[in-house]
Amino acid sequence: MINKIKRLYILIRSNFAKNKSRLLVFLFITLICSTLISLGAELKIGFKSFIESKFVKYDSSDIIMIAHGVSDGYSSGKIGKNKLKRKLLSDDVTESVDSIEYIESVAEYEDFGAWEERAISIVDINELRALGHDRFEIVEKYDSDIPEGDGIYLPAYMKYTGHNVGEDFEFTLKERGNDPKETDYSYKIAGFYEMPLFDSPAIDIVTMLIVPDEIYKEIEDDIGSDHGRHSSVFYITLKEKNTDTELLTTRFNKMFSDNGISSGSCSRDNYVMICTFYPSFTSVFFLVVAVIAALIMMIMTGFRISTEIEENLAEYGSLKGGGMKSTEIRASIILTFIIITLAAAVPGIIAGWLITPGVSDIFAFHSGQIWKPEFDLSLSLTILLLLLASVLIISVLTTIRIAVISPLSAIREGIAAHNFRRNPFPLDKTKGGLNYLLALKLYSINMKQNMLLIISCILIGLIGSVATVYGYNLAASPSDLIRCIAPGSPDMSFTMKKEGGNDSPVKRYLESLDNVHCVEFQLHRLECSDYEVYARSFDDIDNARLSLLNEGRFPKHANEVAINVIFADALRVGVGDTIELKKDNKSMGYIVTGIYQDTIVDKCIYITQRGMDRLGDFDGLHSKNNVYIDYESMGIEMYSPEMFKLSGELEDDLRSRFGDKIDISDCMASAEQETKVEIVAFKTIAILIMAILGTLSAAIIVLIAKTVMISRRRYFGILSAGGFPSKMLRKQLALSFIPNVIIGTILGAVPGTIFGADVVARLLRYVGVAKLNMRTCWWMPVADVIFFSLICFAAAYIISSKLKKLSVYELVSE
Amino acid sequence: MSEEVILKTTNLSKSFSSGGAIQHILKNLNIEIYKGEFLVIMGSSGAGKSTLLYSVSGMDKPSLGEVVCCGEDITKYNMDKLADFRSRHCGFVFQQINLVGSMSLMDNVLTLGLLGKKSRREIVQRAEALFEKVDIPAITRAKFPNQVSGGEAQRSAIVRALINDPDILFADEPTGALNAANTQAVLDIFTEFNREGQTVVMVTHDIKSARRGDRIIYLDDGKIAGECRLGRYMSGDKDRHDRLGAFLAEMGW
Repeated sequence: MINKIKRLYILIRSNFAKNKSRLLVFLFITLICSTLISLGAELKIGFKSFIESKFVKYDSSDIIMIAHGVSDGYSSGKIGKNKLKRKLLSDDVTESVDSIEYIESVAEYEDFGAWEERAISIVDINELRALGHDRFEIVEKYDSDIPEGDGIYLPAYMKYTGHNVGEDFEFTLKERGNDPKETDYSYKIAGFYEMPLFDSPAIDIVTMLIVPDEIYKEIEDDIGSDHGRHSSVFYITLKEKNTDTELLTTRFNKMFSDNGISSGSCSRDNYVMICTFYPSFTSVFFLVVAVIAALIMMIMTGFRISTEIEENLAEYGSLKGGGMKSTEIRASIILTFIIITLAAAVPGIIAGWLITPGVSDIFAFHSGQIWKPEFDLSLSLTILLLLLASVLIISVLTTIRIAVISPLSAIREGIAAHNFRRNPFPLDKTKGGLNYLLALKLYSINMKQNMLLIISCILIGLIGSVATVYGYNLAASPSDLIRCIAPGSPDMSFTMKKEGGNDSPVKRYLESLDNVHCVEFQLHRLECSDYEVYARSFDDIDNARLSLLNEGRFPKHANEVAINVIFADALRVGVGDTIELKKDNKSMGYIVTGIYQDTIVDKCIYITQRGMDRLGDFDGLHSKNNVYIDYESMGIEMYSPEMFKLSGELEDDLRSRFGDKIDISDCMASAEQETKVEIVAFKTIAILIMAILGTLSAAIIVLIAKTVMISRRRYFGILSAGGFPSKMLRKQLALSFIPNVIIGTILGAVPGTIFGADVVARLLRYVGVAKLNMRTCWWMPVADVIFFSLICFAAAYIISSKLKKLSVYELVSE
Repeated sequence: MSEEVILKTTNLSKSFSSGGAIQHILKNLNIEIYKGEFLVIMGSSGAGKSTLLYSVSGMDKPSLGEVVCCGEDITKYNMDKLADFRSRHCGFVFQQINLVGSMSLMDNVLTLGLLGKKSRREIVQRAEALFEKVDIPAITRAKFPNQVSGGEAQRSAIVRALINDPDILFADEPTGALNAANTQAVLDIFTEFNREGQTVVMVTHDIKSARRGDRIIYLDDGKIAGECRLGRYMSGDKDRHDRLGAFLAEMGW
């Protein structure tokens, strides 16, 4: 037994000694692969677990409801917060509710508190603590010796917006009314806090400032009896954690609304979905690249082992002839690759884990989450075992040849020259440069390498082309990207102010402008299967710019609607099904004619104005009185190809003309502003993916080139002896890979360019993307081919510099 | 044979390091090779014959000393300059033939031929003429090296070596892997080309092959142990054989 182990050890050591550089390349490919898998898995699984674990850590409530203008301290005829709590508890959903707690808040409510265009809510730190358990944690503090009364605490994500502890934080509070008085406040930032549901800038509810007693009282005194600027924050904890918090939130909102209370809300499901949106989105890309890298790694394993066997067949034959069992020889090869996989995968997995926070930080501005992932041993072990199992299976299958071949055949086959039968590109009959012809000849005799390279390039071309399409769409026009992911945005939208919402003069004026097209719409709040949904109804639906249609068509008739893909999945309906919409006490059935995507507002439907009128005479009211009556809002959407030139001036012009009648939203400008960082982040990801693929393709070429240099050593020696300079030989070797790189990349890049966006959309369906309306051009696969060909050529040319150092004598006498 | 020196070495030395130990293969060799000469290098195994051949032909770089070939001091050349030098001035024939297995015999020849500045047509014509001369028919030229006999392969290798009309034809035991008939044929080709003015430098340990040389240099332990001038080869020259035998016996062959 000891002798067997000793023999095995000697064989493994010999394998390593023989193929040091090639095994190093294989190790590098495995390292990239394991890093990507680890990174993708951490982002996909780890980040969601981290977000969900925060609810446990802070014993967090599952839903937050902010009831605006509710306080015990005033009497406005509205319901007080205690009564509201009792009402919440008596609602028919309370069998799901474990507890409801609330605290007072001041200063928030739409326009009356403002910091960087977000509403703010100021709560007393002691009141928050009085809830009985840690709802929040101070994650960074200026100085523990400084008493709390000296500063305020901001959500931790504000660190990303340039705020630092010890600095002053300024905000303005406005009074209500026609001539609001503005009061500026400035406090030292005492620290940053973490609190689920409140600590993400992506949750468009409020920015909560936690302040000490003294400051709270100071602001409260300033606000005085302006009860519109008071509110109550309700913390609702559920009995079962798997309860649909979105559905419950809808019900609570409706209950608030029924009592005439304006509210803001956030649910656990919504919070998790929004916070994990970009990491999930990104992880899909990394996992796809990782799967490609893993496939390439498997192909490489097979290639390396089979070339290893070919190169040493005579040696194995003589070992078998000498009495060594084939299982021992096979075991030595298998163990060699298992050791390499282990040596690469362990640091790769650790590297993936170490890189993960960096990648998630790219999107931290969005989620606001500072994630320092703990090492997930079970996940890491799973990845490691998967990689080892794959290499084991491949190596066991590939080494079967050693088991079945007799010693004599092995020796004969090992020393036999290849039996060539075809002479492609005969030099006396084929025109063309000598080096190119010889490169073609070299290319045509390496069939095994050709297959390997073509398959690898197909895989690389496939994913590379998707990255190219994304990169191009991101670089070409950010607004196009917005329309890709969240299509349907107008260039500018105008909403009628409730007081005197006559849109006719505005519309007439807009239509008098060149290159401007306007469509009127109404926005209604409806119910559908217990969900609260928004319905956008259009007079002229054919000319409206609607979201990207995934299936079917947009509604034409009064009994038709189109619904969002996420909502369709939630309701489990498809095209042709009927859904029931309810407005007040009237409900009507509508046929779903189309399913579209909108990642921003998921519970939304498109309907014709006539369809909407079936639930009430909205159109009649509108046309008769031109006054806002029963819908949430009405307005005009404006589309113009010249918008990017118009927006600033036009907005000012419209504000001066109709400022008292309309609220203007420059949708494209604000969307571009909001998505600016996302676009940079996605560009970074696209570049990162191309860099990974470039590195991977270079590594493949290096491995193949090294193998060719060894197997065709005599060939290079002969040509060199005849006077070929090393530059020509290196160029010849590098050129010999190019046909395969071109063929493989085209085979991968063409379908990748055509279908890539659809496949990615399918992978992203769970975040509401069903279709990606990417612009593709014929040159995209060509660009991929050029990119990867150049990389492969350069890699092969550089790695073959060894030919320059070897003397011809060494090459020929090998 | 003229008196013009085509290749001259001055204190040529070549060493290899192996496992930390340095092996001195060639030691301060001073040799002159004349234009049109048929020089044979002989010696015992490990005496440095092949190393000398490769060092003077620019296939390998000497460790010390100077090699001037065709008026060029090649010891100062880098690998690429040496390659260019070889393509312009040298032709090689190896013991193991060393034809590219994946190319036809014709392609093997043209590959080196097309490296020069002559037109494709000229090169093809010269290749065909040389193939005719070494008795390789057109049908065989399209075959791969593993589809022809050793003799045919070596004769094709000679064509390849001569395709660029080299100043010196270097041959490293060209008959070592051939049977008697093929050996004779190959040697006849060398002799014929030499008679036409081709300088030939051949390493051999075969006395029958060595007999073809005008001059024999015997190497022993990296040094020239002796030299024998035989003059022009004439078939059936018995005295030549005896003189060579005596020289080799003197050298301890």
